[in-house]
Amino acid sequence: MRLKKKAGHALLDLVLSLGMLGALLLLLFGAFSMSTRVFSENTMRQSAEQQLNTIRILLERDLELTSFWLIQEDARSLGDGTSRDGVAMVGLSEWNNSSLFQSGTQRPAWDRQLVWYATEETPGRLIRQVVAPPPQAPSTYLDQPYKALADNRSNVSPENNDSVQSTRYLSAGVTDFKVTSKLSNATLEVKLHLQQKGNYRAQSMAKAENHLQVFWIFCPKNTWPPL
Amino acid sequence: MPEEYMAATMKTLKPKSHGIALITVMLMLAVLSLLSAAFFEIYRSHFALTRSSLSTQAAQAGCEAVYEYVAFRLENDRAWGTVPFSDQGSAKLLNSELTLSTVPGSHVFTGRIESLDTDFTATIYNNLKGGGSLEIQNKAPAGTAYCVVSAVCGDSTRRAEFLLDVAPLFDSSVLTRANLKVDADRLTIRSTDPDRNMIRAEGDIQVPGLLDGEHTQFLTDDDRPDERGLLWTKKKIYSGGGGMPEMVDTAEELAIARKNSHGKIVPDGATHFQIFDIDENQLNLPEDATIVSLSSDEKAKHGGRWTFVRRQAEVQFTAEYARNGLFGREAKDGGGSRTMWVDVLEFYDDPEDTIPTAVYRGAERKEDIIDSIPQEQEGLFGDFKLDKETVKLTSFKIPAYDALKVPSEIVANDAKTYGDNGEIRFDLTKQEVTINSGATVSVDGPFQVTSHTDPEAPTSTPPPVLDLGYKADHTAEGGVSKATIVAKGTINIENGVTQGLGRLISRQGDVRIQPKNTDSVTVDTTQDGAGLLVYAGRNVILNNPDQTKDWNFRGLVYAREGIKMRGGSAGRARFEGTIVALQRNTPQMAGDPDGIEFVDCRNIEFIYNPSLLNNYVRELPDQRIQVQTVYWKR
Repeated sequence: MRLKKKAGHALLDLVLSLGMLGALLLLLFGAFSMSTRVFSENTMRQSAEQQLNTIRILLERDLELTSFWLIQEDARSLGDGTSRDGVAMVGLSEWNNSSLFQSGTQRPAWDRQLVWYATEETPGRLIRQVVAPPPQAPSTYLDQPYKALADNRSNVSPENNDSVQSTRYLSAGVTDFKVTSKLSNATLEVKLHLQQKGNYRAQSMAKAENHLQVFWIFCPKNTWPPL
Repeated sequence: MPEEYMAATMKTLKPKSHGIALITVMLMLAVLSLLSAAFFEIYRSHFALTRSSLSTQAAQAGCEAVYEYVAFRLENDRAWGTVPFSDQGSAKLLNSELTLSTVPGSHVFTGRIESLDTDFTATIYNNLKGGGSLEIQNKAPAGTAYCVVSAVCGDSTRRAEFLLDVAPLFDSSVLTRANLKVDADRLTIRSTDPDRNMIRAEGDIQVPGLLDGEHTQFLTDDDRPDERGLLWTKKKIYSGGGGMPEMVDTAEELAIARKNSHGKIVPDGATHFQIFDIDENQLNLPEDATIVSLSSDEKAKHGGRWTFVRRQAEVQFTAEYARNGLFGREAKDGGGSRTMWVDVLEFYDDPEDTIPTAVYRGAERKEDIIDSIPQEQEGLFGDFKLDKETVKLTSFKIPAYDALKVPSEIVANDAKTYGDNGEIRFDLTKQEVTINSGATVSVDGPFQVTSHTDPEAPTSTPPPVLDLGYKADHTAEGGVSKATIVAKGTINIENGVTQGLGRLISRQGDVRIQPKNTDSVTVDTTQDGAGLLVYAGRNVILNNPDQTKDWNFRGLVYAREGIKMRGGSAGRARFEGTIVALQRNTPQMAGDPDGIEFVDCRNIEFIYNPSLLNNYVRELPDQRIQVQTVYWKR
């Protein structure tokens, strides 16, 4: 009797301990699952932020070094209230080349247009292109806004745009790109919304999504005449 | 037995329980460590990215702060950085918490911006005045200043280079700290500057027909649309002439206005622009001019008002009536004393007085006497006709003034003159005022030349011809020579046939011009190097009562208060150079301008021409200049 009772207790102990272990394992795997998801989404977010940072650094440099008066905008609104604008600004191929400055005034003799635009598919691609159209005579450098911007921004094959020297794809997840020039203080306001999709979420058919939206204000420093 | 059982069980289970607890704790610790590690790993690079971004921005802001400092320093000390620094000078700007010190024997200065936690090192090569050393010329061509700056914040370093040059002191054809109102049929804005064609105001701007046609336009010299055009205000822009102007506010309206005018239309401007405040001590006048002072004339030494007027007077005169008789010319005396209306020049030492200080009359002026005496006298064998050559005034007395003991004078040589060589001449025979071109007339008070018709006079006063020093002169540079009138008080040139005006400077008062019977008014300072045209310590008032066809101003029109033109349907008013209304105070009297006002005009044309102002800007006192960016690179 004594042995039987002991054996019964041992079984109960085993069941109990297995139950506890199971619960622990469940907790453990749950935690692993959650941390994997969090890790994955944060990695995705981090990647988006790095992408955004790259875009900011490039755009800031392009806009800081240009002239506000020679910026050309091309607004494109989609039906859902978002935009896929384009903006072109004059630039210099070599800032340390003194021959690219006007001999009399010492001001930059602009020799390229830096074109930024978002394509109109969903989501769109953010593209930065270096375009070198010929200057309008009698000027020997670019002294006008890039009027051809509206006609020279292909959604399908940006490489085939006219006078393109280089093309860089900065994001493939653009859902909104809006550029507004502020004449009141000679600045450019840029709104950019990036969307990224990750892996399927656990126990769900929905993919993880990450949205990043920023507003930037840039002040072109080679604006002549200054406001 | 149960006690025995319990004791046995405890003995057998206790060590196993310890094992499970340990495993559980270790598992939990492992899970937590894993989570923490994952969390830390994810955010470590995120925080690094954020930190790096912030310090980069701080370093960039540091470069911009150094730019602002260099611009400020050069605007107030044109020689800063022209030679290597001689000592370890230091400076501290409290507002931005910027401290710096110069490195002796070099063009380097270093410093720190506390609020940005940023240190910087910069090198300045200043060649704004030109003539710098070879080392400087290699970096900064003549007329420029070059600076390279490196700013460090945390792990981030930002480098920037910039070149500065001297900006025009006034960068627009019209500048005002208050309102600009143009009530005209048409406004044309042009510019000779290759980069600028601007109008700027801190108050409201009202111009004709921005929304309903092409009444306001930015055009080039050959009447093509000028896309450099800019209409800029810190407040609102209105379209329309007089009564009910319409605000240009919505995006659609702005687009229409832009299309019609060819320029950029900017209401609610948010940037700061400076309008240089020229006070009377900073006025530049031609150095080689002949200075004519009124101080030698006891009555007029503090200036005043000279008024041509026809007054009723008791006149003693001589005259002969003559006829051709059988034996030749027969004559009879027709002179005597008579009360008649005669032309006199009244001088008021206080322009507001109604009783003159002195009355002058030209002995040879006879038209008014001839009009007042019979043209014929009856004779036995035919009438005698007045021999006009013999008419001459010998004395006169104006009864209204006689009791007040106002002195009257028949002036010698028929002209009241001032200056050692009679540079200012009130010709009382021809009713003319002339000032020698090239002279600078200095008046310690107001200088007002007007004409007036007594309401009781049977005929109006003949308007005097005002030739105030502007005349064609083929021997002079530019083909014209001009005078300068510098008065402490108001300059008022009114109701005269204004043939030409030189430079008009009222140190503390108004400049008022109201011509009469004049086809065109020209005020011009070109070709003589000074640039300043009209300066008023208070307002500039232009009146056009009789539709003068053309008003031409070439140079700087500057009012420390406002500018107003009552056009009287003037055919055209053209301002080349810059017109500036500082409007330091709110208008003091009803009718005073609040900014710049053009009322009842036809065609107004503003032409920005910095070359007319360059000389004036270069010679400003106190070495003050304004600098602008030529390029900025990094």
